[in-house]
Amino acid sequence: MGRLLKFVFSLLVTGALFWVYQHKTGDIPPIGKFFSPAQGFWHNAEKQNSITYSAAQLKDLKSSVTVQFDDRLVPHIFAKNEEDLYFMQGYITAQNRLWQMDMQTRVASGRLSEIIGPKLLERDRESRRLGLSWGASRSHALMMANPDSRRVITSYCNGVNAWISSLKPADYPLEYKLLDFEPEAWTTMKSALLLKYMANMLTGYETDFEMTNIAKLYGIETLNQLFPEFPDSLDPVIPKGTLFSQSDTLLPVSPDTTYPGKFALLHNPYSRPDPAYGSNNWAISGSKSASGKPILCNDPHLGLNLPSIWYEVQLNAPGINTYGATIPGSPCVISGFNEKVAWGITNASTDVKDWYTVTFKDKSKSQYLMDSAWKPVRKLIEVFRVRGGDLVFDTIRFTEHGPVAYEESFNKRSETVNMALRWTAHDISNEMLAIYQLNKAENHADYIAATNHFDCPGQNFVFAATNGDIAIRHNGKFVKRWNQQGRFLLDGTSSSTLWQGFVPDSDNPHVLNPPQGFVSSANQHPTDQTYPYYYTGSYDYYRNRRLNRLLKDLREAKPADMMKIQNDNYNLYASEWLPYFVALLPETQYSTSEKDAMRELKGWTFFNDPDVSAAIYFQLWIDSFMSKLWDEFKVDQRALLTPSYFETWSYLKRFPESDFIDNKSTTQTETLPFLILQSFRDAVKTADKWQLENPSKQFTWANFKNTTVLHLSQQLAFSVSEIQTGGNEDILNATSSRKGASWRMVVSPGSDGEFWGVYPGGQSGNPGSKHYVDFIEQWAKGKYFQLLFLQPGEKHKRIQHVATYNP
Amino acid sequence: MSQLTIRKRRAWFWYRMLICIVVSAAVQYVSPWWSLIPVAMLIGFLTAPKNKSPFLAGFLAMFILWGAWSFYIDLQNDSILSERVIRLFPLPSNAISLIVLTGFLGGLINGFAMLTGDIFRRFFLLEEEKYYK
Repeated sequence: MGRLLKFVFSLLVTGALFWVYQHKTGDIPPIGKFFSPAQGFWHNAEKQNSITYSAAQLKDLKSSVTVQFDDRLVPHIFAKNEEDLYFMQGYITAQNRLWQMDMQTRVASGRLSEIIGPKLLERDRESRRLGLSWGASRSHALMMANPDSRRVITSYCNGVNAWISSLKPADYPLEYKLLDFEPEAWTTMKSALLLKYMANMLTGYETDFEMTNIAKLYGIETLNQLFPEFPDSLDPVIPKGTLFSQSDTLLPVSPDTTYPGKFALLHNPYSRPDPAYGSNNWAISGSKSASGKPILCNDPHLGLNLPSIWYEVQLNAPGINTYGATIPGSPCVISGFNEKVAWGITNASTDVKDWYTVTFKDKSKSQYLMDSAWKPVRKLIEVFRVRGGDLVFDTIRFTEHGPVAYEESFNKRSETVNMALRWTAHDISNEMLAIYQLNKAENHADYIAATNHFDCPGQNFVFAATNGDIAIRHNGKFVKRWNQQGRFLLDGTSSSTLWQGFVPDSDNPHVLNPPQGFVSSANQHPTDQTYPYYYTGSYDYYRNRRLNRLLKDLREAKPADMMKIQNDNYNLYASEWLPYFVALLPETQYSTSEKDAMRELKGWTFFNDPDVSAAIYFQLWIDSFMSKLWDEFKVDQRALLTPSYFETWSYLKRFPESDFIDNKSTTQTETLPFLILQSFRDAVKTADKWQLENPSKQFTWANFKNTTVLHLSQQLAFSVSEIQTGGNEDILNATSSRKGASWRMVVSPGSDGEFWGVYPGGQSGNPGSKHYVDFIEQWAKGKYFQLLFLQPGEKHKRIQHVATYNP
Repeated sequence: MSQLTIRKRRAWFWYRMLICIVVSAAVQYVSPWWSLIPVAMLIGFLTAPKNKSPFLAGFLAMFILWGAWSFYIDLQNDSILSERVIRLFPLPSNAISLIVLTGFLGGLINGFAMLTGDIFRRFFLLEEEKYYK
C-alpha cells in the first residue's frame, strides 16, 4: 500500500508540475515552455559571432533580391521590381519586429484581451467604440481599389506572411513566449489598422469636454481670456505675411446656438493620447548652408518605446531609391529622402475630432433625434474573444455622426448624455498612396501631388530638393468649420451643427522658398489670423519660437549645426518665467537649502543640460505654482484643463489681479507673491526629499527626470532607464521622462549629399540581440550615424553581410 | 551487503543519470520540452534496480543538461539576453543565477518524472528486489 501511495503521489506531483510548466498562470509564463533551452527564451539568444540572416528560397518572388545589411543592421534592399521590393520589406521587417507589428495592430483593433485576458477588456471595448477598426476597414477598401497602393500593401503582406510561415514555435519572438501566444497571419487590413493607430496617436487628442466644462463653470469670456485662440506672440508655421488662397468661397454657415449649451458637467473622457506627441522639422535653403544646398531636418517626438517605433531601411528598385524611417507593419518610408528630394513630418495638431450629444428615443436605443424627427440607429456587434474567459459582445450604435462611443452602458460621461464621435480618422483615405508617391517624388510638384492623398493624421510636411527648393505644407483633411465649431461639445440633434465640408487641399497652408531662407514647424499654429478658414487645435508656443530664433541667425550652416539645434536644451519657458518669479519673490527668512537653491537658480543659463540641478528646482517650482494657481480646475472626476505654461504666462500678464490667484478653500486671500513663495518652498522641500531618497544618485536633471525607453509589454527587464540626457517637453530636445525625439534625421539630399540619423533603440526587436538598443547611447549624447545611401551593386566597407533571396 | 554491491549501486546512479542526459537531449532537440517527462519515466522504469535515489538522479540529469545547454547558449550570446531576462525574477541580476534557475526548474520536474517511473517498476520487480535485500 505504501508503494502505491508513493506512486500516486509522485505521479500527481509530476502531473501538476507538467500543468504549471505548460500553462500560463497569471502573469507567469508557462515555465517549461519558457525555460526550455531548446524552445524557450534561450533560443532567442543570438550568437554573437555568426550570421543570423541567411539567404532563402522564397517562392513568391518574381526574381532574385539582394539585401545588404550594414554594421547597424539596416537592410539595403535591392530588387528588380516593386512587388519584390515591398515583399522583401515586409519579410525583413517581420524578421526583426514581428511581435511589435502584431501588438500595435491589436491595440488599434481592440484585441489585446485575446492575449492578455479580461483585465484589458475595457480598454479593448474603448478602442472598438472609438471606431478605429471601422475606419480602417473603410480606408482599406480604398487602398485595395488603387492599383499602386494595392500592389504595395499586398506585396508587403505576402512578405510578412512568408516570414511567419517559416517560423517554428522555437523561433517565435521572445514576447510570444513570455505572453504565451502565437503569431497569426498578417493581412493588408492590418497595415490599414496601423495607419489608424498612428492617426489616433496624433489626432486623438482634443479638449471638447474640458472646454465645455470650463465655459459652463466660468463663462465664455473667461475661457477666451485663459485660452486665447490667437495669442499675441504667434510665430506660425507659414511665415506671417504669406498670402493665402481661398478657392472655396462657400463659407460654412454658423448655426443659431449658444455655447456651451445645456449640459451637465462632463466626466473625464477616455484616456487620450498625449498632446505632447509633437515634433520638429525644418529645411534651410542654400543661402543659409555652407554647401549652398538645402538641408532638411526632422525629429518626431513620440513615446519612447522598445522595440522602437521606427525601423530604418533603404528601398531600391527600378524607379525608386529611397532611405529613411519606416513604421513596422506599414510599407514605404515615412520620414526620409531619395536621390532628388527629402521630406519630414510634424503633427499638424489641428482638431479633426468632434463630439456630438445624442438623444435616443427610448431604452432600445434604435432611434435618435435629428431635426425633430426620429432616425434609425445602425448597430454593429463587436465580439471579444477574451483569453481565459467567455466571448463578450458589445453593441456599438452609429448615428450619422459616427460611433456613439459614450453611452450609459459603457463609461458614461454624465448622467444623461450619450455621445457620438465625428472624426476624420473614420473617413476613407489612402495615406499609403501619399507615402508611396512621396518616396518616388522628384520635385516640388510631385510632393504637392503626393501629400494631397494624406488626410489623417494631418501633418506639416517639410520638403527640400536638390534643385534648391524648400517648402512646408500644413496638410491633411481639415474641417471647414464655422467660428468656434469643434471647440466644444456639439448638439447632435440638429443638422445645422454637422460638418459642412472640408478645406480644399489647394487651400491648405503652404509656402515655397520664403524670403527668410528657411521653413520650419514645431506643432505651432499653422497660420496667423489672415488665413480665411477657422480652425482650432492644441498648439506649441515655445519650441517654434526658439527654433525660428536659431534659424534666423544661421549662416554657412553645416549638418553639425543642425544636429546642435535638434539637441538644443534651451528652456525658453524658464527664461521667461524664472526672472518673473524671482522679481516677485518677497523678502523673508530663507532656510539654508532654500538659499542654496536660489543660488543655483540665479546662476542658471536656462539650459536643461543633463548635469545641472537648477533645472530640477525650476521645474518643481513652476509645477507647484501651476497647481496652486489653478486649484479651481481640480473638481473631482470632472473633465477640466489647466492653461499651459504659455497661456498662464500671457494670462497673468494681462490679469495680475485675477480671482483665480486666491485659493478659495482658505480663509486668507492669497496673492501672486505668496503663491510664488509657497511653491518655491514646496519645490525645495521636494528636491531635498528626492536627494534623501536617492542617496546613491547625483542630484542632476538627467537623474531626476529619469528618461526611460520602455518595452511595449511594460516590462522594465527589457527596457532602458536612467538615460543621461537633457531637454524636456516644450524644449527643442523634447526628451522628457517617457517621450522624446523618436527619430532624428539631418539630410542634404543629392548624389553628393550628406545623410545623418539616429533613434533611441536598435534595428532588432529581439532583446537577445546586440542590435536591440545599440543606438541609445549615441542618441542620448546627441550623436548621429552616417546613413549609407547606396546605389545598386555598390560595395561599401560598412556592409557586413549580403543575403540573396531567390524565387 | 557487499562492497561490490554498493559500488555497483553508486555506479548505476551515474549511469542512469548519464543515460537520461543523452537520451533526453536528443529527444528535446526535436520534440517539445515536455518530452523529457516520458523519457525520464521510461529511464526510471527500465534502469537501475538497486538505485535508491531516483529523484536525485533525475534532478541532476536535467539540472546538468538544461544548465549546460543554457550556459553554452549564454556564452555565445555574451549574456546579452540572460542579463535582461533575469530581471523578470527577484534574483541576483546576473547570467549565472538565470542558468542555475533554468537547471533547477528542469531538474525539479525531471526528478519527479524519474521517481514516478522508478516506483512504477517496483510493482513488477518486487520479488527480485526482495531477494537482494
